[in-house]
Amino acid sequence: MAAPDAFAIRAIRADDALNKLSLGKPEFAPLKTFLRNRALKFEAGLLARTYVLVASEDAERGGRVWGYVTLVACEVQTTSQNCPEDETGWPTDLAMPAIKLARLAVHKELQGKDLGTQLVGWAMALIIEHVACRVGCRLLVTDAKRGSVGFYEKLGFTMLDTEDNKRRDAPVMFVPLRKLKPAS
Amino acid sequence: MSASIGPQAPIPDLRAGAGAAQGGRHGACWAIGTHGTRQQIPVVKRKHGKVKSHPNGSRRSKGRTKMSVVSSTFGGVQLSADDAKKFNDQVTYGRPKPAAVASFARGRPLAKQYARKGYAIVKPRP
Repeated sequence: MAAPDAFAIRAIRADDALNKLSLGKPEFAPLKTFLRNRALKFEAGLLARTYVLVASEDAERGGRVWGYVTLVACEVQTTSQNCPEDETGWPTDLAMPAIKLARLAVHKELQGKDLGTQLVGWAMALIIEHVACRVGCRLLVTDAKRGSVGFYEKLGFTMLDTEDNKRRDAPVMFVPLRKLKPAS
Repeated sequence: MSASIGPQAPIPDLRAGAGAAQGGRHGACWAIGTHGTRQQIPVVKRKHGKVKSHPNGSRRSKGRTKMSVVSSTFGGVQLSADDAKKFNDQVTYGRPKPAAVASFARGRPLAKQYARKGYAIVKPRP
């Protein structure tokens, strides 16, 4: 089946076809497994929200999933003894509220065609304009697979610049949202 | 109270809990980092003075170097030692990258469309 010309980003539905996503590399298998086995359960349990890429004609009905992004609320906890308050007066030894980009996947035929970029851009705008303005949320965070670090850097994510982090299989990367927010 | 970290600082007692006895809310102990530096790692002190776990929830094992970044796919991120300090500096003083501004700008019309219709239309690059 040929890939569609246009896609819709929308929330996952129970009648979506979740088992046709092929990502091309064995190391991406957990991303397929999550979509097939966990995404709907996590959705129902309000544990994580998954948004899928489907053909544009399937925007309002179940359809084949060609990619997805999963978002979850989290926090960044620091336990350093030398952390002062930041410029907003937030004591930096308190946890910082954040959203984690927990999963991101695009079908192998569509990789390199900017769909992942558009999913992340959409997620970033959604968080800044519809979440952070209602619920405290300071950062967008992800655990980037080593092969994806360059991709996230191109989208403006910053690598936590320490040796320990750089040695991780999935280094922590983040975007501080506060200074991105347009003046209201 | 915490001891200073520096080239002249003596290497303190590495026994579990020895640093905690030096005081502070969480106390502190020392470890040799994987990249050859001495790191100060806070520990939680039990009633009877024994080390239970690191504040980030991970178990400390004797003689093994601990990473100061803990993050799981669907969990929070916990940072200690140098990572915590660096993170706070980056978040407090750093500015968003131009690429982040561009990503956000690209995503705004999509988010607006999503809010209006419940979905947003995107096209792959040819």
